[in-house]
Amino acid sequence: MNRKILLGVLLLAFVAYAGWSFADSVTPYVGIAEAQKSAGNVQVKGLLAKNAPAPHMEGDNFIFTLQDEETGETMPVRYHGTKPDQFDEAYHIVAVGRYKEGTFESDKLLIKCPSKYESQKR
Amino acid sequence: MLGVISLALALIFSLAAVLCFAFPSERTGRWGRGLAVLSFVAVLMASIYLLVLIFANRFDIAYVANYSAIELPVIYKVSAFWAGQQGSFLFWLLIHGAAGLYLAVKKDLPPAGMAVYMGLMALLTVLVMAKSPFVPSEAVVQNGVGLNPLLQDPWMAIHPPIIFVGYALLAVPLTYSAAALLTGQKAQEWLPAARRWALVGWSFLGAGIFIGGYWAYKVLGWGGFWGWDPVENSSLVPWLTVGILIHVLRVAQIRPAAVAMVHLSAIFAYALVLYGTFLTRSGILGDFSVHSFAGTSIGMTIAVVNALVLVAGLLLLIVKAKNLPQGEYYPGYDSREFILLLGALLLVFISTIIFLGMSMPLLTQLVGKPAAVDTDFYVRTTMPLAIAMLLSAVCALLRGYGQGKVLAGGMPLWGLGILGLACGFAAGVRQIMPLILAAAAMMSVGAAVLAWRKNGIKTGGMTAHAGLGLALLAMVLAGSGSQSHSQDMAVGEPYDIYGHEIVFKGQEFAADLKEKYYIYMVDGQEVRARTKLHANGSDAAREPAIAKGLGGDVYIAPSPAKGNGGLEMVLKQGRMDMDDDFAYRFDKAEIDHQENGTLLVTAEVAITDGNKVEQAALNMLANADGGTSQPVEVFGGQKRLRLTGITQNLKQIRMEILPALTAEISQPITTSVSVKPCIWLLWLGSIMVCIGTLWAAKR
Repeated sequence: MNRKILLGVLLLAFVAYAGWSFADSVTPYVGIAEAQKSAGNVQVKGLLAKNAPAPHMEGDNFIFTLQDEETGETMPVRYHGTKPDQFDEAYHIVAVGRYKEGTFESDKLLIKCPSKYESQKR
Repeated sequence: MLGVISLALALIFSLAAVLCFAFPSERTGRWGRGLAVLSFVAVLMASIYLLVLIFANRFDIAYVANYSAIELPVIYKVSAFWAGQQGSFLFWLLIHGAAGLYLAVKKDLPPAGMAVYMGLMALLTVLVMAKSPFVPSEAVVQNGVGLNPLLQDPWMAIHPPIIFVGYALLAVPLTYSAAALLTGQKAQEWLPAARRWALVGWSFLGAGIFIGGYWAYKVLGWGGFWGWDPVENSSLVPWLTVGILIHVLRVAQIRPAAVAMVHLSAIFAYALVLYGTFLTRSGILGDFSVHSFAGTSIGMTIAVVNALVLVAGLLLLIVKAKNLPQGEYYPGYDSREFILLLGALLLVFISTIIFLGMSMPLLTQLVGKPAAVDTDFYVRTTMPLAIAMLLSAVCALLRGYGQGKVLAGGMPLWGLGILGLACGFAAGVRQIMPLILAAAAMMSVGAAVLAWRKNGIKTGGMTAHAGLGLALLAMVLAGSGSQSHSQDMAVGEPYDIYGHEIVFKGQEFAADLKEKYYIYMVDGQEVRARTKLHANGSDAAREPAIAKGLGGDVYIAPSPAKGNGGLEMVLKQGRMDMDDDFAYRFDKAEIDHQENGTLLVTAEVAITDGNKVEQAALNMLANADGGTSQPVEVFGGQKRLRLTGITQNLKQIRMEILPALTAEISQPITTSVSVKPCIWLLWLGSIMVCIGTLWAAKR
């Protein structure tokens, strides 16, 4: 009996811990319009906007403009890091972060490039 | 055709073998073993045939066209076998078949187990056939696409097969477990064999994961070795689960009641292998992973196979549960048994967190908007659990089996803990959790050595446990202790970054122009960052330069501006356009149909600096997939022009204007410099884990 109580307590503690951690860090996938409204962390997928200032470094931040593939809206992104290596070859960019005072402050970029499981055009 | 026939034969043979083993007798056993051998031979034939197709440059086969090319070096032609999804499944099947051959010859496994094993083989064969590497190309292809230049690395050539050897071998412990459930075999008869297979599988899967991390560090240039990407997690979760399996196996050898946990973890380990394959190969996570997989219809098939294995395994376990040995799991809280089980539970928690994290997009999609967790989540959430797991490892190592048998006192370990803390602090780690992890990791290294000296653990186990401790310590030092800085570097200027003197010496091209190097001096040591180039001179794959040292690595990733200072220009026929130095006019273009089906486009362009006029003929070879072109030097090499596009009516061209080669070589460059304290400890620890585990599998 003792054993079952111990296991139960450990499991309960874990469920509480996991639930609290997940609630804290699950970031929904949204479009640009929604990203600008939302207060928390979100992920935005888009393309590099063509008719916008060229991507560049400002201090330790990398600045570019993201364009929503469907609606065509654009949004400036400030990525807290250097330009990702495969940025130029990207066909999709996913920015993770939150919208603050006109700029999307991002700590993480997912650069979607052709991988070994997809044929690559030369 | 030969490939498809071989696969069909393999399916028939393995299904026939299942039938033979299902009705065990002296004669059917012989037949079944023969059929197991034959099904392996059939898969071997299919595999050899695929290699032959690759080496014969048979681009009429879609798989060969997508992953090989005429000019690909031999080693990467071999690795093209497993470079793509279809081929890697065939390789998995091949290893599964080879292990089946061994089992059939050794006769270790009862017929019921062989039936299960050959049943799994049939399922894997169905997967390979559903996504066959022998499908013909849709169009006529002159040359294959070849292997992504980033993947043309010796480590990446061996990474997938080692992972798949691990996956394949994990079917064996599952089969032993299923056989024991079906036949009521005594635990002591099958546990040692199952444990050996689990150890070997674990070692291979671990080696594959570590090699993947090392490749990412050495080639990708983002400075890390683990990105918590679904593709990575989907191999980590089964690895952790087999870690659980290995430890509960050990407990069950002492306390037979724990056999139920062995069954449970063997079933979950293999089901999670299949689940990971499903998650990453079905395209379901396409939006959430940096590895872009094309969404394919195979997802459903894998999901069904996955569900089949899990449901069948669990049902079998529930039905047979009453036959399992009863009794105590552990004699008391101060016993190695109890602490091992506690550690296993912590591993279950860690795996669950990672499993839920990587499945989050899928799970949230079921109830609403898809959502994902960020990668920091994994670090943040698993770190306290990892600390608890290391401390339970320390306690378990210091105790013997049975109540209250203390092998060695823990006093010396506190010193090591403080040393770990100090190392972390010296490496620049200031957060509390990573510092505690570093301390716990050092203590676990000490505990492994202490336990080994008191004969509480064998040499293999000691090596693996010490290796894991060192690897986790290194993850804190090189992960949390890593610092990164971006610097615009002019050629020849010394920069002082994190106490290292770094000079950018400029670029150098390889003689064949297939590669170029960014050359840096780090404290007087020359290091080169290699960039592989496409045939047209543009960057194909950019690798970092790494100055290795005992204190750690200086990691240098050049990040040149797009086009290396080049300019793109669209010119209408007869119109003049200018850049800062010259004016350009596109005169005329013609197209020549080549014998091999490609088009040779020639555009004539006039260039002037105001005084002198020069003519240049720019060429581009075009086919259905696009074009390739070489830069042409004009005005004595002051500029290089490259044709990058043309309209169908030949009235307009697009051209890239590149600076002189000498100018390009000495351009200043934005460089990301980071320090990775003691990262070599991570590689050393990883090797120790794999070698130690293999050593432990020895009889």
